[in-house]
Amino acid sequence: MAVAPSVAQPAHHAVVRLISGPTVADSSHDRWLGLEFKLTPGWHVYWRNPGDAGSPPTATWTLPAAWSLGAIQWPRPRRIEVPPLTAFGYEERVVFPIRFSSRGADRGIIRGHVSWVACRLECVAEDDSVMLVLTPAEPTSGRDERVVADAVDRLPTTTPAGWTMRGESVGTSIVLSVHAPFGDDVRVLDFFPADPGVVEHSARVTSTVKRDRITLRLVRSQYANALPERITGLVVLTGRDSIIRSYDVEFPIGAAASGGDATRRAASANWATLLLLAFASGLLVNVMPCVFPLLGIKALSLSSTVTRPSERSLRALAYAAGSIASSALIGGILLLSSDPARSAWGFQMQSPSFLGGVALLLFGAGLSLLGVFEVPALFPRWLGARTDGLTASVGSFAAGATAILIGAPCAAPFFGVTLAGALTAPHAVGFAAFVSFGLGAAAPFAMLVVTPASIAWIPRSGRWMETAKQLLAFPLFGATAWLVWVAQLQTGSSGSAALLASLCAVAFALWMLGRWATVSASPSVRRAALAASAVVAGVAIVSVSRLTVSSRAPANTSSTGLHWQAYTDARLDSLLSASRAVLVDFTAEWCLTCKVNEIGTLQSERVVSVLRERSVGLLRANLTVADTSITRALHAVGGASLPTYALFAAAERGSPRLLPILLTPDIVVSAVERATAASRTTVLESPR
Amino acid sequence: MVQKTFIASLLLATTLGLRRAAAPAIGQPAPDFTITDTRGKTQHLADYRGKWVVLEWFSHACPYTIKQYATGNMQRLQRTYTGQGVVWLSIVSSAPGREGFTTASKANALATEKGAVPSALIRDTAGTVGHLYDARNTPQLFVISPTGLLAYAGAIDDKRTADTADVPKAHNYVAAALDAAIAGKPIVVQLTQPYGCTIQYAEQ
Repeated sequence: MAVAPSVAQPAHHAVVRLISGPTVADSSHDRWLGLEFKLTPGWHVYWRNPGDAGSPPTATWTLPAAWSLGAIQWPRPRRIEVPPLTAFGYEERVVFPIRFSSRGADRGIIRGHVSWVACRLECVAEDDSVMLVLTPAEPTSGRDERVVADAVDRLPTTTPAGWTMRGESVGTSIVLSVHAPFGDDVRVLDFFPADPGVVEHSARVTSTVKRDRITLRLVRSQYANALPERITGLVVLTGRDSIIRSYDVEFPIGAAASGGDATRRAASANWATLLLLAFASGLLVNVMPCVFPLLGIKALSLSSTVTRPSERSLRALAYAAGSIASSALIGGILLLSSDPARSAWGFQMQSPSFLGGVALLLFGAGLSLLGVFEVPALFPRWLGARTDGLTASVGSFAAGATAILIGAPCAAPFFGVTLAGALTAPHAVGFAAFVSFGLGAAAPFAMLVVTPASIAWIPRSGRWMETAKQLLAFPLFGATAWLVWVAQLQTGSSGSAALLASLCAVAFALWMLGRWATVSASPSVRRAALAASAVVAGVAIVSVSRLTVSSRAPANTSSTGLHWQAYTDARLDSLLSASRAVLVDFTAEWCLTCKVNEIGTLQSERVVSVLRERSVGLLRANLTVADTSITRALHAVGGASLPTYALFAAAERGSPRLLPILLTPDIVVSAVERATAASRTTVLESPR
Repeated sequence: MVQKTFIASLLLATTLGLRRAAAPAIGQPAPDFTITDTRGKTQHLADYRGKWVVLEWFSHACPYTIKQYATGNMQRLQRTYTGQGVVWLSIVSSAPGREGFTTASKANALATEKGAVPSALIRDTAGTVGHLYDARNTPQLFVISPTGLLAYAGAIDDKRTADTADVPKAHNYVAAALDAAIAGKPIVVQLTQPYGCTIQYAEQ
């Protein structure tokens, strides 16, 4: 009763027929049809997610008004390997079931136009027409019915009730687990992701099975942007009866599930706590070595020159506004950045032009403290009496803003957990946390104004002030030297030479200002000096802004004899699959806390010996210069700032444990012992 | 210097070709290459610093590439963006005897016949440039910033089919990236999984 009159053209690599199949099990009216492809040997067509090449077949239908056809259904595919690519598709013969329903039993005709791409190594786009004459009331011929029934059997089953699924991201892997009463004999044959760009199609799927749980380990796609909210696909299982079954599965990837302990704790803390923590972190920035000299200078300027309370308030407000503005700016960029993998707290230090700019700024500030030039002298005279107040306010604003930018990496130890919370919170709350951080940073300075009593702490001015002011120039020069060193690590010696030359040029420009652009100089001399120094400083600023990263982060060789390898996703995966515990040290040359931990703890004798004895895999993820894949790994383990220490237990499953940001030998030793003890238990369990 | 870079990239490509090549990452320097185009002119990527550069992997026999050329879409993109100072390099990495391979003169004739107007057409028969970028499909496109950093990599659009009717309905990732780049705005989608035919490299 079914006719498929289409004759294959000689050039075609598939012969396509529309055939009639059995009635649908749960319906007395509906019937299965089948779209059958018979392929030339060596050629294949594709599943709904074709994998790394190709695309699935499509069809358009014309049929009587009382009839309707469902979408093409996809039997489980097979892997078709064309190294380095893997496609998902069908070879030899495949039948795609299509659900057909009709009202009325009259005879009718279904016409279809089918398009597909068939590939061997090369691909060819082909299309053909199919036709089926059908009397819904009549049974189907035995042979076609069996062919379609077999195809229907190969369709995935919807997720059985009682299965609990969840997924999480571990390093570059995605770990999916299904809890259900499987029994001992279940085996995982394969997993096919429903969408491209989520998991690496060519990567081997590894799995572990325990009585009530299946765990699949997949590799994240190199084309993946952010982790999706859910991963859907097809899992293929077999059991004692050797019958192959496939199931539609959907794994929610929870925010909590993808992070470490610290993230979870911070995320679950309520928003008020988050804001308080942010404020406290801001307060702490003031005593960090990165910012302290700046604060000292501001306090000094307040005590020395300003006597009127109104002006003090103005400066305090300007300073607070500056620190809030720059903290809000960083927060805004972090929160809104389209690709979270590329940014994190303190990461502006990855840009050599940023480093160079800050170095110029600090160096210039140092020269100013030494009296090479006077800021008020630079403003035109007609600004008159307002000049001093105005420049001071601008200066206070700039100081507040700079304090945050420079202090950010120093603040990470305190702000790290808060930050992870802020980034996982709704945007408004996250933004409020950054503002709160800025407020905290500005608070001590504002205190000097708000509380009259505290003003008594400010020492009286005198000759010592000049000495103290000049002394403060040297921490600034020290900071400049450190920035040049970090910039050299990023740009190589030619970049640092350019930066040093720029520093010289800035010194020259400022010296010209101090020498000739004085309040007492004649207008023409002043103008000439201003122009000349603007040109020289301009050249310096342009050359600094053109600094680009030219060297990869240096490999860290340590003197302890431990073998720290540079982090790559592949190395982490291979160490984990060898069932070793792994410590990943996310670090950067500009991260002082990282260095303190490295020297004080990671290189200490006890830590070195426990790491060696337990043969912990050691990976150093260096973020001195920007690196998308390492930043992605940092987010994946639940970290948001440096340093982050992720310790993967030797047992295969689960998220890494994040160590505290300030390490002590005791913390590391006990964490490593726990992480490796777990593996022994697993080894004892597994022969069961 | 140029020669040294070329030898270095050749060595790199050979080593990488043996294993799965690592794709260059978004925001990282795009690998440099020097190669002769179908008109006999030397194409050195670094010479295009200061301009946006598009690399388009091309195979005249691939249905997914044909979809873009039969509708005139790829030619339109080439005309629009080369008209705005963008450098467009179409690259054929097919090995001799395999799908997409042509001689230089045949390649030029094909381009003329289809009205293609890339800045240059490049035959990469050894697969050197293809492996440097871990290019896998035709079409697959890369957008490189004036400072030489990779700004977009992946599919041409979001309709992953060989159907010409899908071209007008598709969101074109490359046009979106170039429009944003030229307007000085951030590129929203920087990385997608490419789709299309498998590039027919020489056997390893």
